[in-house]
Amino acid sequence: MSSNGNWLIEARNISKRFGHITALSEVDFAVAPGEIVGLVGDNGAGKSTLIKVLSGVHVPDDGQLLWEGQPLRLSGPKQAMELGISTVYQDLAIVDTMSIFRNFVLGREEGSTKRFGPFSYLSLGTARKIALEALNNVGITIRSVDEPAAKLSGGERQSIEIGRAVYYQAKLLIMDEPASALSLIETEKVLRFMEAAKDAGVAVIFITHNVHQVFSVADRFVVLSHGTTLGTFGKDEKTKEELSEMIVTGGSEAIARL
Amino acid sequence: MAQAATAAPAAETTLDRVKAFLAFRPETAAILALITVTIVFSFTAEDFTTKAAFYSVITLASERGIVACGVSILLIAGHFDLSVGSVLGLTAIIVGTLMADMPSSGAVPLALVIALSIGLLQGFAVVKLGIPSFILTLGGLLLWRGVGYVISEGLFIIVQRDDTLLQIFSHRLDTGLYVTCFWFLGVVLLGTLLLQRTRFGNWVFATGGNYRAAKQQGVPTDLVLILLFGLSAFLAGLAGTVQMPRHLYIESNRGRLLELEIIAACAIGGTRIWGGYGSVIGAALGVIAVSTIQVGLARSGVPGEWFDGFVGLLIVFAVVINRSVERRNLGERVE
Repeated sequence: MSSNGNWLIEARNISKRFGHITALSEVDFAVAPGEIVGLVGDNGAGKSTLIKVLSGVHVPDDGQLLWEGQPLRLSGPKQAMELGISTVYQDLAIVDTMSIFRNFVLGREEGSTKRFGPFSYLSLGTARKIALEALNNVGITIRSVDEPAAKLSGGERQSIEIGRAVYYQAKLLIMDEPASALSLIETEKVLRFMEAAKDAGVAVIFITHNVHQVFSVADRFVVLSHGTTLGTFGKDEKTKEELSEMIVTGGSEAIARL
Repeated sequence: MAQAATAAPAAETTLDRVKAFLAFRPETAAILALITVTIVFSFTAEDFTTKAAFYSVITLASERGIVACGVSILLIAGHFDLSVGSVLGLTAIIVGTLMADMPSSGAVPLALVIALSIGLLQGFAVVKLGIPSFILTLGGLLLWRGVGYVISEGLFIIVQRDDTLLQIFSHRLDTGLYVTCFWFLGVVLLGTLLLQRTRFGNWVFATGGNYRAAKQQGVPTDLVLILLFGLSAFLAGLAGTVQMPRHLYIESNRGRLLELEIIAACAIGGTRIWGGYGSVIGAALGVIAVSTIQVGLARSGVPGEWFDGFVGLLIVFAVVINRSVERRNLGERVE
């Protein structure tokens, strides 16, 4: 765990509104290299909005982002990717109609681009090789990288994205409900991978509403409820049951206040 | 590695390999359609297996085919362009009109820039104003046709057929074949390279296949779409210019209903109508199949009124095959 000033990314007083709906209200959040932070809260707590702010999809209305201690203005997902922020969404970032290897290099085609005289072109051979090797490195076996992504199972799709994040040397790995569509064995694989990424010095944010999954791997927990931070706790400060209760009652207290 | 992944086991026969290939390609239906109509017309049509008939098919297909390339790439990116027929007509009218005052070396580039600008403008409106492309380009269809009517005063414009530059586009070779077919071939080749062998092509498939995912992976989807609307209109303009010397004059409704014929050809050619899947070669084969029907019917002595019905049958036939290829290729997940 890290002390203050050592954060990889820090969000201060973040607010985000969509029309009349306040999705986030003065939320503080931070994660350091080499730790796993569980971002927990019930559906609609603002978890997704917060990670979309961190990954450059949404621009916050108020508040500040710091990257390695320096003020950061994210103009879009591309810039976040270039910084080393990799977001694994539940089911969104795979294009079903495209082959696995084309999905793998999507948005990062520079690595498989070759030159022919004044022209640059996409080397399919290089792209296939990159995808195959990167997936093998994370221990993922794929029948053929030429298959369309539509034929993959939920766990395989997740693993493609994990392999992609590792290959492109993410500094911050954001996992949005990674285990929601996975079998127990596949979930176990994903959790073990997150620990491996943490050991390699990657900052990991694990978003879930299932405390049982996150409790075994996270170092800290940030509890969100109705767009505000209910609290930040170290692993030893709360039991699994206390945390679960917080998510539930935090929600109902907020409803009672309305 | 690439070879190892695609090499077939030795035990497979050539027929097996052809079957396996056809089962997974977007072009399958167009190839089968082309073979079917050719066989049918070789019995019913007069002199259908001659060079002359073949050249007629190719000449008819060349001009439409150039348009179909742009439209099919845009369809793969998930958007319609219904304005291509009007843009084709307008560009031809502009070239013809300008040539009264300036040499073709000025008129043609200027008209093509106008066509390109029309496309970019339409793309900009679709992307930035969030108007569905079907509606916006339907507006474009009427608007650009209207502009053409005004310029031509609803009549026609005489073409200077002996112009050197125009001859480059549409010179008739000694064999009887028009040079236009090489422009068609070139556009299909460049379109295929763009789709399959550039990172821009990867972005096109991603934009049409899963717009949100593409955006999240950092693909500049807005830019991709604006450029593709520009390409579609530019190629429509090019086709309008290329076909000029074949005719004595440009009538003011030149290219009318072309947009539907082009979309039909794309559908026959295996382009997924809601994006993410398809090929330029398929669309080109679709165009050739439609042209084959046209020539075949004419040579069978069948009245021209039958043409629409035949193309309609062909679309249904092709889409049934395409759906089964898609299902086999993409699984049930993609519907």
